[in-house]
Amino acid sequence: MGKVLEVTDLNIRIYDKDTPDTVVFDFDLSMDEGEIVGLVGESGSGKSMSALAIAGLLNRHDMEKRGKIMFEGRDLLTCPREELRSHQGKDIGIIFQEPMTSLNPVKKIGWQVEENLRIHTNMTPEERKERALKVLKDVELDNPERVYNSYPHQLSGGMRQRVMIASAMICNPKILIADEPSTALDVSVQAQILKLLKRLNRTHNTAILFISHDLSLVRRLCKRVLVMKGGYVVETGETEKIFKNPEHEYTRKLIAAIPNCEGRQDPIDKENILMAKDISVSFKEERKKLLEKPGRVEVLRGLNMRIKKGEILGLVGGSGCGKSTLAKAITGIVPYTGEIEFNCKSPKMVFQDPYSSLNPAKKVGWILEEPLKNCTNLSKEERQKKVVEALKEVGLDEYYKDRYPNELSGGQRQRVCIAQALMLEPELLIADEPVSALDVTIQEQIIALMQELQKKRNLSILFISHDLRVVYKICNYVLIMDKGQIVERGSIEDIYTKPITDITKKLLRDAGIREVSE
Amino acid sequence: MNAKKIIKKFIFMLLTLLLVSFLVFLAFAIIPGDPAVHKLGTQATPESLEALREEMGLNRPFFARYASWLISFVKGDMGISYSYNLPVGSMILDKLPITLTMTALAFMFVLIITFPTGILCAKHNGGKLDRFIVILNQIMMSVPSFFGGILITIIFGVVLKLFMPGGYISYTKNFTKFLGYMCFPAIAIAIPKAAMSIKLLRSSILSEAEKDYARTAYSHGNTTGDVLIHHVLQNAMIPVVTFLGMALADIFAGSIIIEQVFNIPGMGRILLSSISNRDYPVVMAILVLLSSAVIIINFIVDIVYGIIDPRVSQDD
Amino acid sequence: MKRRKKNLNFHIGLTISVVMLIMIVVGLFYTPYNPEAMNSALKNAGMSLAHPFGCDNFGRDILSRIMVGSRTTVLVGLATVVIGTFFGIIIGAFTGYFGGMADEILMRIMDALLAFPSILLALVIIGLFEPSTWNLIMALGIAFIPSFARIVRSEFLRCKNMDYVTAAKLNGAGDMRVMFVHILPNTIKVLSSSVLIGFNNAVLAEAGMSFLGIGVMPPDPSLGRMMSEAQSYIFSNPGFAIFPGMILILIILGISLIGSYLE
Repeated sequence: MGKVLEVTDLNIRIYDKDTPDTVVFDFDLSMDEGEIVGLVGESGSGKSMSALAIAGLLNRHDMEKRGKIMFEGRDLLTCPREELRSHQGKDIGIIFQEPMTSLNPVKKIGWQVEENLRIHTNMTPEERKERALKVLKDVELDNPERVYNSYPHQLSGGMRQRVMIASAMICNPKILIADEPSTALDVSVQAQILKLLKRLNRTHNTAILFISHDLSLVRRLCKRVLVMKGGYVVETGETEKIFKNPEHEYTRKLIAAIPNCEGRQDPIDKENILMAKDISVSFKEERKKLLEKPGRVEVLRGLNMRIKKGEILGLVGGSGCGKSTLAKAITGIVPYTGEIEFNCKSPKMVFQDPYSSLNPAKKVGWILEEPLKNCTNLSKEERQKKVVEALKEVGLDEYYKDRYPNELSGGQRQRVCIAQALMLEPELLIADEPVSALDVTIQEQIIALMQELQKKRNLSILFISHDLRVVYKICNYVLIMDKGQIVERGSIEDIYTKPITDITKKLLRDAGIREVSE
Repeated sequence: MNAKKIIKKFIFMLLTLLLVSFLVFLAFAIIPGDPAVHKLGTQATPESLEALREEMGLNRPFFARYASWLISFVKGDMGISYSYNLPVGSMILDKLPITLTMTALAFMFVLIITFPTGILCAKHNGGKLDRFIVILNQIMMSVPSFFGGILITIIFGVVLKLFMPGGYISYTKNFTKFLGYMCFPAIAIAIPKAAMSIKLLRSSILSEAEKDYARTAYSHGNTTGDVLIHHVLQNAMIPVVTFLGMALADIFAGSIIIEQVFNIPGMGRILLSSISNRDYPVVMAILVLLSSAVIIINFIVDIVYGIIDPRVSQDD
Repeated sequence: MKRRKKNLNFHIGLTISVVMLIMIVVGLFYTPYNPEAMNSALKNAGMSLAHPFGCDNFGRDILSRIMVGSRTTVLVGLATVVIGTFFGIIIGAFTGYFGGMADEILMRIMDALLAFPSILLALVIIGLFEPSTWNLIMALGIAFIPSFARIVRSEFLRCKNMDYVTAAKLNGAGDMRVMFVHILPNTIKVLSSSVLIGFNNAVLAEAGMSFLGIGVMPPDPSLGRMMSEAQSYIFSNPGFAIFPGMILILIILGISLIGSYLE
């Protein structure tokens, strides 16, 4: 088992005007043939930069790279460009986070997958097509012929990522760099992609550099891991050893932030704050032909559920199961048939995407004042006072009321969203994937904030998520949804230790919970 | 882009043509007033006016008049000019090739200038040529085509004496000389449009080159040139094609103005005189023709767009 | 480096536009000579200290005529943009936000109109009614509405499904408030770009139509008509045609540079 890659003393600096800003310090990495190594860190830790440097894709004028990247006896950092290009795609493959934008929208999949063969081999068109179909089958795509002739926008996210993998693997590279390959995907698709990578590593003996902000994913896949923070590698070693005995404080923080299966809350037995009976929602399909009557798509079918006062109710399901639609029905955004009884003021919502949930054209203070302007008779001073109080309650300084949303970080924006939802003092809060778009350490902060607010105000929360691990940390009771209906319900304890339906079991598996406890 | 979509668009185009012809006919039927009065004057007796109206078929129901006008129009009979008492068709149709030639020449110049320049500028972004062209573009975009025509007349006609200003040569007399003369107005029209499309192409290429799929292409070992030509260009062209379609329609309509600068006896001259003379049949006919040309051009652009950008198809 | 360049464009554009504006405003009160004053002794006089831009075929001072002519041109441009923007925002906001049958019908009509170069539409209206300054403004204003409405509509379509709109509604904002207080400010950036382009198109169209003699009619002065009159004197007095043209270019260039900064 020889070494396939040896990176020593990699330093990367960006020159902004004339002052250099170091983004990667003294990065060392060595990989053996067929080894899977993990590279973990938050956004801004330098992990992607290092990976791009290895792949030879950091060629901006304002960047300075120092150090050695040794591949097959040649230093990729200093060798001539043609030589570097001859390795790119043939010996070193790379897949990225966003499969939609990483594929050329106007070229067919087959053409794109074959590109490495066109550049690095002398195969005939027929040979290339044969090879492409074979590799598409290898990445577990049904109907490779059809995918070959499709365009990227005709495939789902998971399929596109498989296509990216196929395209990167078609020349059997020695190294595959996977830069957050599953972050943009659904949890169950994530699990599939991980399995695929594991299999390809076994069958093709490809070394994989797996980059992620999610330590638990890395744990499932990588034998060795490097932890990065602020451009430095703060810890490195065998994955299991690090998990059991983290040395660096940051590593310990990361491990602690993983929503893990400890800590439970007692089920609460109080009155109902919301009762939903036989809820159905259907949408008109988009008109395909001008004169045809559009059909209807049923999203929710005869659903029943209730929320108790003071409870944090989890609502979990894969994408497309209807959980967001249920939230919209409850808040009145979407029309439904059936009955919903409210025993409280109208519920408010916290959204998933902190980037679209705050009006970019308005200051934070204005956004928080809006609900008061529209629904109360308070004077301007009273409103301003409440705004400052609200900010303090979510842990933000008064200073933020004059800032625009784009000046805040993701975590700060989510705090503002929560503050906004609480301005009219609702009793029921609907949180639609409130932490899914955040870094793991920030996730933990926001969850803690929500727990604190719940206790303080005796809120009831409907916590929607696709991630059972997060739900475990915060909810008392859980509803599992699939295809527009509730398929299982139970206390947090029951769901996790005694799941009944296959769907629940699959969700637990995808979240990696069963595997870890086994 | 499959046949079904093309047929659907074709039908829509026909409907639009119909709509436009209807609107124009409606407008000209209502607003200008009684054509009989126009012909005979305000001093004519009511009987003679009535007789004329009967003869001109003005007393028939509106839709009957529209239908018969439309049918005749399509057959080539566009009515009789009020001023000259000649069939409108004969007045206009031999002028059509002039306008078409000028439009075609101008469009060709735009294409020839835009693509090499735009690609070169994007490739050498930030270089001397690029910066020079960017500045030049800004200025050229602001030059109205007729002023460009005047300047060209002064520089190439008066100073360099490459052509005789105002010396138009008919295509029936000497086709080569005709083409030669027409190049000058064509260039005048082409310059501002070319400047705009160079700017668009260049910025489109530059922004596409920053996208993720370009990075993927580099990761396969493509050179900068490869990425530009095989990956980026097709994507970058999409907004440019849309723009060029509008530009073509603009060129077609704007040719009217440039005719005045170069003394060209095209449709523009007739249109102008008939507007001044209130010669409505002629005005109507020319407007319908010009509008139809624009609609047909848009139809073609739509199809080309569908060919370049596969995301446009919905039937899948 | 790009940002520095962009700023430079903006400042140059702003400077040019302000200079033009000053020239026009000054022209409201004072011109070096009476623009209508004819002087047979100075027929087609060239540039001189007394007449920096020379005189036209009637001996009238070209500089003075330009100062007054630009005023009409810019006014037409402004009026067009105001009409187009006002109706465009209303149509675009309502169709984009509410959708439905009205949206589909209106958009088909807008699409059909959109295809038409504004000159053509202006010709239709002028051909129907009669050439006059006011008719020209109406024609160009109407011609500008479809493209503007389309842009407003697509911005509203983009924004109406954003979470912050949902949040606003949940927090008690009514539809009108959501449309004009919440969504509209987010569209300003894109709209400004369009407005400037529309202004330039209107100025070009006016100049062209006046050049043809069917735009701004006498006694209202116009740069376009000056250039048309100048055509017969290209050999003897090229300045007569060139100076108005240069000023026209500067007006357009100034606005266009400001616009390119906004993009």
